[in-house]
Amino acid sequence: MMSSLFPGLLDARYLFWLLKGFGLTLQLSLITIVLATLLGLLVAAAREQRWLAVPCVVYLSVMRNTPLLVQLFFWYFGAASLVPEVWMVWLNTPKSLLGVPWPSFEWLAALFGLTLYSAAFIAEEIRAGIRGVGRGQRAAAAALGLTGWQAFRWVILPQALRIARGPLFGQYMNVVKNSSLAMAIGLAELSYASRQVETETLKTFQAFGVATLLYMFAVMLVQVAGRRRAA
Amino acid sequence: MIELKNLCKQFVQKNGQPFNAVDNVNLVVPEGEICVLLGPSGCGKTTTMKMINRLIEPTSGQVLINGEDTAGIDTVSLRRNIGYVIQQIGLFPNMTIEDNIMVVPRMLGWDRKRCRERARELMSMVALDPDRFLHRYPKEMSGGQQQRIGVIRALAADAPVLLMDEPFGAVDPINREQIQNEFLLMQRQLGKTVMLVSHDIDEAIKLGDRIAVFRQGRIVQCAGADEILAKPADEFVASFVGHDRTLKRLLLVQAGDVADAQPTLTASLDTPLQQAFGTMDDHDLRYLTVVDADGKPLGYVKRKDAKASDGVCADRLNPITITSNPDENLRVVLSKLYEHNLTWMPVLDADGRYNGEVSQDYIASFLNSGKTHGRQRAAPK
Repeated sequence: MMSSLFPGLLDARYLFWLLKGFGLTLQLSLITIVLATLLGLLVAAAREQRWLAVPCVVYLSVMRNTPLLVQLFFWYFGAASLVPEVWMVWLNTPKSLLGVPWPSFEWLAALFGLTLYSAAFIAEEIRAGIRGVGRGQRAAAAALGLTGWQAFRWVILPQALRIARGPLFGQYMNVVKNSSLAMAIGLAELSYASRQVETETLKTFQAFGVATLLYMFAVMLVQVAGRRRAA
Repeated sequence: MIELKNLCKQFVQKNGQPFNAVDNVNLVVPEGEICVLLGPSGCGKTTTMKMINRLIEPTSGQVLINGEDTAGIDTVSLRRNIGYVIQQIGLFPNMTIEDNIMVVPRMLGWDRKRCRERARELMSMVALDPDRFLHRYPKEMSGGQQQRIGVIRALAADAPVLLMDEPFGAVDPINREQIQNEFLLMQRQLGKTVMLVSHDIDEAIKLGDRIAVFRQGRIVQCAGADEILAKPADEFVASFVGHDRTLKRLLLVQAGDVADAQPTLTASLDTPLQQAFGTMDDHDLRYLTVVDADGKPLGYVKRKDAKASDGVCADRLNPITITSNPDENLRVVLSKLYEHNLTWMPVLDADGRYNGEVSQDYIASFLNSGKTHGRQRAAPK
């Protein structure tokens, strides 16, 4: 065995745990990024409508002014006691959706919490982008006879996203890092796995060292994706 | 045709007082004409124009386009049927030039092929190579090129009415002059009904079939350029068009107009000097142009040389140093005269034949004759 030759290294079995956790981190982050971006867009657009502005501001301040850990606890423990019993049973029942196995409630709660939290920040970045689009652009779109929605979709939004791209990818990096908090509600992602490996092997440095490298790798992937789009 | 009837726009000021930005404006722009709304900033000219496509809702009054009250048309279809050249160009930086030009036609449901053809046609109208530019982004073009795109974007769907909000303000004077000329050439072919906002009197003179001078929300004078310059309605108009307004009128008259107003008097090489003197004496001239059999000028004879001489014109011929063509405006002609320290020069037609002359006396009497009113528009060069 490798570990008997190099006693400092982790056994393949433990590396596999870590990689499995890393896979879950990547999956959760990616889906969160997609959903949070869509939700963020919606919120940013809704904030421009006078009658939707107040609920949006309430949502944004709740999400941005409370710790993510508390929010995750709230969705995992609090929501479970708030929603009807039947819903919880249905959510916890193993089933298959178009061949994809139904995820655990931990995973669902983590995704839900992380998405709502990240969407608030993303919405603010997009809104800053929208504010950054020249006033004349809106006037030009109106003068050409674009409806409010068409002007937003084809003129304002593409420019806003270009302006907001840097900060937006910064938020995506945060999503990857924030996903580690899901270990607190028992989701076996990378941080959870590294903790587990450490407990089993007592090789603290190696376990968290590998986890650190994997997180850095994931964040770098996001960074590279951001650069690619900028070019 | 655009008709504004008792158009008003009232804003409420910060102190709660109502303020009439546009105050009972009545204006008719006949089909195919360019009307320039001219005035200092804050005079209501832009507000007036924006009420036509309802970027600003009128407080009261009517806007009629080809006789139809626009109040009954929803803003989106109204705007799609009115070309609009926005201040500061206003191209969309996230779209290619082709997409920019075709925004309105696509919304009107034109198919891809028709859009593509139309884009190419428009590009060639402003002498931009479609293959080179259609797939570029606005920032990859010069300011002058962007300005041209701004104009053809407004023409894309071939709307009969065109509104232009200080359309040539964002480019340097040399480019502006050139784009204005191109625009006039295009307008001559297209015959759009154009309303153009400007604060530049020279632009107004150059482009406007008629000029409406605004002050504090009202039209103080609406007339052709020459009338505004020759007979400003009040001290405000006079000072706005500038105290050198008579010099500006020179822009509106061409050498040919002056030449046409005189009898064409010439002599030939073998005309006896005594006969030439008689012609000059009869018409109170100080010189007479000598032409060949085709009517092309060979030189001139002076009255004092001819007075007491025998012989023919060929004996006393003076060379002609400069000539003018009939399309040159009087400002250019006068400039040439001063440059060469002369008081007159012959006007030659396209074939080089003598067609009359322009002199300082002729220019002065022409400006006082009032003949400039029904002018034909100068061909831009």
